[in-house]
Amino acid sequence: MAYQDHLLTWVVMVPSMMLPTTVPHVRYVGFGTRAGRVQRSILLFVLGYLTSWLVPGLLLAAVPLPASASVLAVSALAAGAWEMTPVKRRALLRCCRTWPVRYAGPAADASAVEYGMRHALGCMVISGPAMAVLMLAGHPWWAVVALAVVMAAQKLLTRPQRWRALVALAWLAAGLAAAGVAAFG
Amino acid sequence: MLTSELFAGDDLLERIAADGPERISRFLNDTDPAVGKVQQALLLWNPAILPFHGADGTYGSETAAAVVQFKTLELQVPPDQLFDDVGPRTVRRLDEIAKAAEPPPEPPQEQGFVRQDVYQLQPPGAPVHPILAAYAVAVRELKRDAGPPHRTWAHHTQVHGMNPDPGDGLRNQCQHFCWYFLPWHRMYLHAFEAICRAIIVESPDVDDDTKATWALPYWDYDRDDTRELPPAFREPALDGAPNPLFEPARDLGINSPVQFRGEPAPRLARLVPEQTTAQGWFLSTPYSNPFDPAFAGTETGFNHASAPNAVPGPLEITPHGSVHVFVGGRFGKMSDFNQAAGDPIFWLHHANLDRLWEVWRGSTGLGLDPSGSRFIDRTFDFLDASGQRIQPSCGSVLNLANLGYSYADTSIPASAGAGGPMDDPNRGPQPPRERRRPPRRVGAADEPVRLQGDAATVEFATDTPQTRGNERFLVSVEHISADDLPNAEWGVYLQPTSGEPVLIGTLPLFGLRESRRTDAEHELSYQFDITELVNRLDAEGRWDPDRFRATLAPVNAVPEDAEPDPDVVIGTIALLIQ
Ligand SMILES: [Cu+2]
Repeated sequence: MAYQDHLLTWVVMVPSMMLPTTVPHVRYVGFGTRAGRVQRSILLFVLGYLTSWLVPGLLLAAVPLPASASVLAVSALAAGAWEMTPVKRRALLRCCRTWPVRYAGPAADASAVEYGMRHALGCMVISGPAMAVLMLAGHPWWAVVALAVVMAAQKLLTRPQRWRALVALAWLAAGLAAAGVAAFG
Repeated sequence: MLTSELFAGDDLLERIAADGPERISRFLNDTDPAVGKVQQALLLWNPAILPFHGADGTYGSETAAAVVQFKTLELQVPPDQLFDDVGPRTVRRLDEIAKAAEPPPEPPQEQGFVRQDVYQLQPPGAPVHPILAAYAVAVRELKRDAGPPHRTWAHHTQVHGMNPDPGDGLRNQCQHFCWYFLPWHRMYLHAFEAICRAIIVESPDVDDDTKATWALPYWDYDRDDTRELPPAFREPALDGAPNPLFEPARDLGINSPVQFRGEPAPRLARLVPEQTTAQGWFLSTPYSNPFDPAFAGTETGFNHASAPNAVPGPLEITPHGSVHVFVGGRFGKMSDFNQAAGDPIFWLHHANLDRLWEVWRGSTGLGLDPSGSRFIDRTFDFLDASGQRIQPSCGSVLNLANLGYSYADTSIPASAGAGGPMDDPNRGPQPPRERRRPPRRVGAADEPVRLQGDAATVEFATDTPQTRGNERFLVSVEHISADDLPNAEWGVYLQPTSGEPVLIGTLPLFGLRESRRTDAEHELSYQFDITELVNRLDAEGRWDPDRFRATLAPVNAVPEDAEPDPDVVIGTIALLIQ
């Protein structure tokens, strides 16, 4: 597949998987701004959010896809290890953190974009590695669905840090399976 | 002096028993009310002794015969001294029999524990009250930190807060900024109180009366003579040994007098009415709402986290947060989730908050207990007095009778009427209004507000509706960040179109340290319901629907030796309607 195709996949995949997890923040932005400009603020939030996600996409699209089984094995294991780091734990705890939203005028526009970008940064810490592995694996539909469910749960359920070991184990299994394919397939 | 309930206080019987000249016979006092009582007592002695007339109140031949039989068999009166009248010995013996037949007095049981006002137990200058001396015995034993976990001070402190989280489901459990704040702390205190009582009952240093009735006292700081830390907690020594109720890690002026800025002489730190008023919480209903705090805090999941809507209820702000930060200051234990319960005054402070919840439940909040299963069935884990793990549910602690204690006083605090709305005779408990939609902003400051020096102001245009219905007005103070707690507590005042500013609420910033941790879910946010205030100002023609003006200023004095004030920044101040 060509670079543009890879990038296009990313551009379709990220919003469809990540945007649903931002619903509480979209509501917060919407309720924080003047009644006549709710849609405008939400749009600016989404713009800021997706633009931020585009940056890693531009890099990832340059990797030839799908990657070899051994690369997949290593990256799946890395994603599993990432689950257990304090950085990921902290990001999970902070992912419902809100930022000041301005009420009207240019200040409101700027705050919506800034909110989207700040929130995207947090999401990338939480889900970035997983999204990268998914991309490298050639985004099979079942993996897309499974990961979408896991990420939504991690972001929207309370105290997700309690079962991140389970998520890490799932990654370990996936990594080992990929390693098996690399060795014997 | 007669002692049975049957005889005591009867004039005639008392006079006879005191060897007076009077008698009861077939000719004297034969229809006096005392006759029926004597007959009842005779029946207690022998239920078959008045077979025909029973206790008919008349001293006839049947009663006379019964008295003779009583004197012969019970008093061993020889036949030659027998008269068929009622004299002193007969009355006294029948009194004993009646007394013995009374049901035994109720042994002190759990229902009887009464939590009492610490300032009434021991006013300034009075000797240490036995209830407080017994509390000191329990705290001293716990502070040895030598027993099993439930018998250590460290455990009880860690149950409230601990970093890192030990993950045992028992510690680091405190519920703040949400609707579980009140029930969780009620369970926490109840378990702690039972453990203290177990220690007190075992102690040779406590008298039996205190052992039988001991309950955790409460500190009602919302009165002019109770605004300083209770005396028993300020003394470094007790009976020549270190006082376990004393805690050195408290703010300047709490334990001993200091010089405050601009004042003539040193004094103890004193809570100001703004920090203890019932004005904020008393009128709040219902118990909770999904998106705004109502009385008790927003409806969230476990802990002070997990949703962008976690906001404390008005009682959790004032007096709860205010008193924490008043005692703890910038460096003391009471200001820190992980250490607060390590100050023995913590438990009296929370007993008072638990009491104020009862005041609300019996007045404004009458019949408004939460009923959904998300609240009722929510359980939390604690260790009980035997060290067993227990899991009380929020529903099981709503009614104090189930927990076996009550409060000496649950009358409505005087400060609840401040501001006037309670003076309205037509005003009763308000029907709770269902608030299933989030409040909507109608205006907000378009830049952060910095709190420095003496005062700050904020002003912005608002889009409030031209015609008013039954909207609720809220002021939201969000995204508060600071390097540290400020020296004074800041108050937020609404500036009417004319006249003096009116208090909206204070910003205690209890939880600031936690909100600054790198894994903190939230910066601090507060919401104040100002509906009553707006209605009042509107009626007086002093409410501007198009413009919101507020001032912020410290409410209490600062000691001369205080550290320089840190920067406090409020991300947003907004006006909301619902
Ligand atoms: Cu507290």
